[in-house]
Amino acid sequence: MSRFTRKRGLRARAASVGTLAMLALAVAAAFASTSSAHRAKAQGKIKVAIVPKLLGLPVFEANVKGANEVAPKLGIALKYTAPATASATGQVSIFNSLIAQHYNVITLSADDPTVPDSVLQKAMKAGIKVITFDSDVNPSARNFFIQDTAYNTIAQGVIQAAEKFTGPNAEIAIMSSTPDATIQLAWIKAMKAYIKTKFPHLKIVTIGYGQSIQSTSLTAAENIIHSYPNVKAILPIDGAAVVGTAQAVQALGDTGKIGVFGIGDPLPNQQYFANGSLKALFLWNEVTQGKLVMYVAKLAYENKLKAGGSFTTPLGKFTVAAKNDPVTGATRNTIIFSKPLEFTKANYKKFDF
Amino acid sequence: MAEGPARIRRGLRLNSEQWWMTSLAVLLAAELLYFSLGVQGFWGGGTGMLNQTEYFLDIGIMAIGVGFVIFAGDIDLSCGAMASFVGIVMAELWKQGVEIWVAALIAVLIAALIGLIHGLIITLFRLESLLVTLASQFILGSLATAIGGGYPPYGFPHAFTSIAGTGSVGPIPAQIIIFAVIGWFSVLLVHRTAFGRSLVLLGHNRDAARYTGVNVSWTRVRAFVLSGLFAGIAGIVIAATYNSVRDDLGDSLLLPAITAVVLGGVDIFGGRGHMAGVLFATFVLGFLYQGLLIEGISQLTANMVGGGVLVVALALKIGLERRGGGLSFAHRLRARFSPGGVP
Repeated sequence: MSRFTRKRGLRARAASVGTLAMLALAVAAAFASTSSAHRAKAQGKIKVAIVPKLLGLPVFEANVKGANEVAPKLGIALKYTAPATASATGQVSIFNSLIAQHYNVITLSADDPTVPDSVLQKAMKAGIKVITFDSDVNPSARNFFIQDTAYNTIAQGVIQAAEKFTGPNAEIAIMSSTPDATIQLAWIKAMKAYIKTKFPHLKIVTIGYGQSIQSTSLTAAENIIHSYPNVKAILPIDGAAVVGTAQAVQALGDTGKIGVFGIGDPLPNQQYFANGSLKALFLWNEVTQGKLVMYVAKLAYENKLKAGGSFTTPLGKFTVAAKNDPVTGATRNTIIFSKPLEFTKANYKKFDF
Repeated sequence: MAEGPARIRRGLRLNSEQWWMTSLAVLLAAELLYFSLGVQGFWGGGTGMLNQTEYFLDIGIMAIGVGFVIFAGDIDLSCGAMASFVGIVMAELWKQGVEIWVAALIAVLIAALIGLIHGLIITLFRLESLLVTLASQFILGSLATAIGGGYPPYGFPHAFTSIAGTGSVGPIPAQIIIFAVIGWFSVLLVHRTAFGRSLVLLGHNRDAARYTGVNVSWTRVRAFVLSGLFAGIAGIVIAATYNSVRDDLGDSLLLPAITAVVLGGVDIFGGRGHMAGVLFATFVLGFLYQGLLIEGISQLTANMVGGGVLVVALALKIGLERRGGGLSFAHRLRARFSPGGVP
């Protein structure tokens, strides 16, 4: 046994010496070559990366489409890259590779609000401008955040549309994702505040939760319809809840009797617009938002943006928030993108997100 | 005893093992050479390249842990969820006012304890490790979500995040030092101790191990304790590296970790291989992935290349072993899951 061990030890040593030699060779060769390869910049263009939460989601594809439309005009070399699944650590690997590639600006929609913070701070330390859109990270880990829309304006849009359908004295219900979802909670708060001042006889009887799962949303919406027979409108404010609620209204034969007014994108809901179970959806224009991301990337790269200031683009005039604003939801260095867009049976076919 | 033939067989296997390690080393060297020369931003004066390891050494730590279990012919699918769980437990303890290092230690010990429970359940009730740890994976994942909630604590003390995560000693990242220590320890443990030899022997032939007086059950249990412990350490390193925790942060490490074990030359049915191969394979896979990303290749493609490397490598290895006189893969697969247990 001992002879056997010693023999193996010798062989292993021989192998490891060989490996070391090869590594040394690799290192030496690399040293010689990098100095010349290092200074090959992207022909004077601004290197910008756009990193959504994951590949292939229609809303993000729409962002990228908009970004690609304006990037060449702005002198931006744009790269679209994202994790295959909505993975926070997958996103971190990508940011790390972008730092190594000396990108000038990284734009992203974060999979997690805290996990990417340290790598993004590393990017900022390396002189890279970090811009978040749609989903933010901690303000200390990015230069600017492009918020989709103000909490109060989207809440007003949904309530106004629903009130037009139900009249000022009616019972309504809300369908959300989970009880602790940040954005949904903020929207519900804004809706309640608006109802209190504008339509005090509109009554929110219950809030259902679909856990962002379509089948759970369907069951929760059916339960609302059974338990509250006087409900005239249901307001789903999460992607899966929109589909589930529209399905429930249609399945229970309440199309036309109960109106569905929600927050979401039109493409996955075309059939419910067509059969009338879905009355209206509110969202921002994702394509235009992608364009704004590029304008902000260029301005940030040129150091032309500052907290409390404003700037003008072909899309309009925007301001950069200087401090937290609980009404709109803005934090420091936040740029609010737009007023919500209303999608109805009349216009839903025009949008591919 | 048929000492003669056994010796010859062993000799042959050693050769193939060594052949495998050398190939991995060559592959790694070629890979580093290619990326350093051909991909701008990879080399980064040497420190840039070393810093890339921060994004995959956690996988290596988990691979070592699951490696122990695989050597014994078992599998541990709970490692990923265990790492997430440990991070959450540590963060919550820290939030309650426990000193961060104490919290980390407690969390890792809990992981080892859960590993012990896995081992006991598997050996006492004679259950398939695949099923027990699969079930445990869901339990641990749900516990992590329940304890951590939607917004688990983050922003740990700087000393913790730099020592266990992103700090460095001169140009050497702290994680490489941690990994070197753990790696050295585990290589010695598997290949230079009685426990390690029993582990490999019972993975190779459980009955033979039993007849030679190896306490088969207890050895298997110890492997599961080690697996839990190392998954726990991986969880702490992830928490320190990302300076935050999440109920699913470790989950995505499980399959890459098993990949590293298998690419490292450890037989998925146990009983063969060398722990040092797992260490090599960690660097081969990790640098390949990071290098491809820096080259500007999408994560989808990088994943596909990683999968391709694994398939080609295994095809080569199995071909080599069959020429060395081993049993066919299908035969061993049948034997592994036959009612009589491991042959």
